[in-house]
Amino acid sequence: MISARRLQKRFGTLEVLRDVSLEVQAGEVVTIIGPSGSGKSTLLRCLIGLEAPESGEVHIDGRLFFRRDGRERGPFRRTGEFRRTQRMMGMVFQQFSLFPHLTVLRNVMLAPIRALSVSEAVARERAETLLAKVGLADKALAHPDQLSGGQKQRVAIARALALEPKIMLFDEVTSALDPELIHEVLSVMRGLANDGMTMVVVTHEMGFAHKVADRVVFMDAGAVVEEGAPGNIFGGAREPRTRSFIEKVLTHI
Amino acid sequence: MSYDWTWSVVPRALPALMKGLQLTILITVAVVVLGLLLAVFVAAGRLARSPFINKPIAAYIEFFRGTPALVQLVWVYYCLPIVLGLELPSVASIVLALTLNVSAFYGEAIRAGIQAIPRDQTESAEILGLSYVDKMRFVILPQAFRIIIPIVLSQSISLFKDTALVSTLGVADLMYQARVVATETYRPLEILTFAAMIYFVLAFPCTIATRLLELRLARARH
Repeated sequence: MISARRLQKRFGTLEVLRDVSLEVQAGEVVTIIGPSGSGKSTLLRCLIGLEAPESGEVHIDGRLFFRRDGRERGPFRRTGEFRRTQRMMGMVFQQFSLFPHLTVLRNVMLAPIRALSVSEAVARERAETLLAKVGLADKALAHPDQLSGGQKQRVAIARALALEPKIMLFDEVTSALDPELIHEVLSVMRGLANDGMTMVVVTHEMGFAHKVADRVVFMDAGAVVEEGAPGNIFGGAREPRTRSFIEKVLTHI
Repeated sequence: MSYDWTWSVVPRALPALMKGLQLTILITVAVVVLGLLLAVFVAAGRLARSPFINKPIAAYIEFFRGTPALVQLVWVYYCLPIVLGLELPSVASIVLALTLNVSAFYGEAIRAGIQAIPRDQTESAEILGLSYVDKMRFVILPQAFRIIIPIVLSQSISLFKDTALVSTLGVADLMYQARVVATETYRPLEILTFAAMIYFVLAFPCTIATRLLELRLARARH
């Protein structure tokens, strides 16, 4: 479903991604773990085309999304084909990024109406279904600032799902939440995973990585150090760097 | 020796002053409307990615912000006709000069309002598949307007007062009429004080209203 090959990305002199490749099968849930600054978020942002790598290529569902050979400069040219492929992916951010001036319902309806030319009535029905799915049917007419962080994040998930993406990307979506609100977001994500959604999840939630993911990718210093089944990564990683990271995050309690 | 105020000249001067006020308001409204229209393009040009567009627009903005409005007025009034070989009616010429001037200020206000919207809003709109126009129309501008409107209003109030500059070019605005009547009646203190009061009585409520609106917009959550 996703095939990213040899992505290289630098910010100034800082190499954020060094030759990163990632393959994700349809229906697979992949979590990416690793220390801050290891390039996890940048990788997600490259996958969806928000960040343009210097070189590398990404195929989505068998279609070429972009290919760069290091000679191009600046952001992507957003051609129609680029946009169509981009729309196959939904993304949820750490900071929710809801549209604060719109109601919850309008947040979810906007993209289908404008990007997919769905009728107002159909978009409304679809939005209401999605809000019910994330447990927020009663908040349809609220504005984002009237919601808790967990609720905002569930709206953000519903908004991304409204375009009926084949792939969902999650960028540390629980990192800005109060601890008691994390589970409500994770349980929505678990539901999506059970429905067969292809998911790439950057997270610090080792419980989620362990129990829900099909595969865990460990990144450090802009490179994939190791990947494997959760049992193997958490039960006895090959690489010392992986082991020491996992030891640190699991023993801090 | 204390001055002997003779306010009785004011009623006699009133018709002329009101005629001048009409022109002052007409010029203000025309410049606000035209200036805003032009400012949309100034802001768009300033925000354009291409340096061939944003650099000249930046120069345009800095030129009009960095030179006195009076110099701009006089230049357009006296020099432009010679350069272009084109004679403009005097009101048209001062409206043109003031429009160019305020478009630089309005343009910067619009640019600042747009750039104050956090980048994640743009990115969300992008990955939700919104076109550039839709992103601006439904996501960025509705949020930016809250920042832009109070700035544009307060700049428009300044413009209303600054239109008094056109009196130096013989355009019969409120200030021009006040000076004429002051000379005719030999009562410059009364007439000019009264003219100042007219400007104030119109500008001050607008200032208060702008401040209230600003507070409401800042507090408004949606």
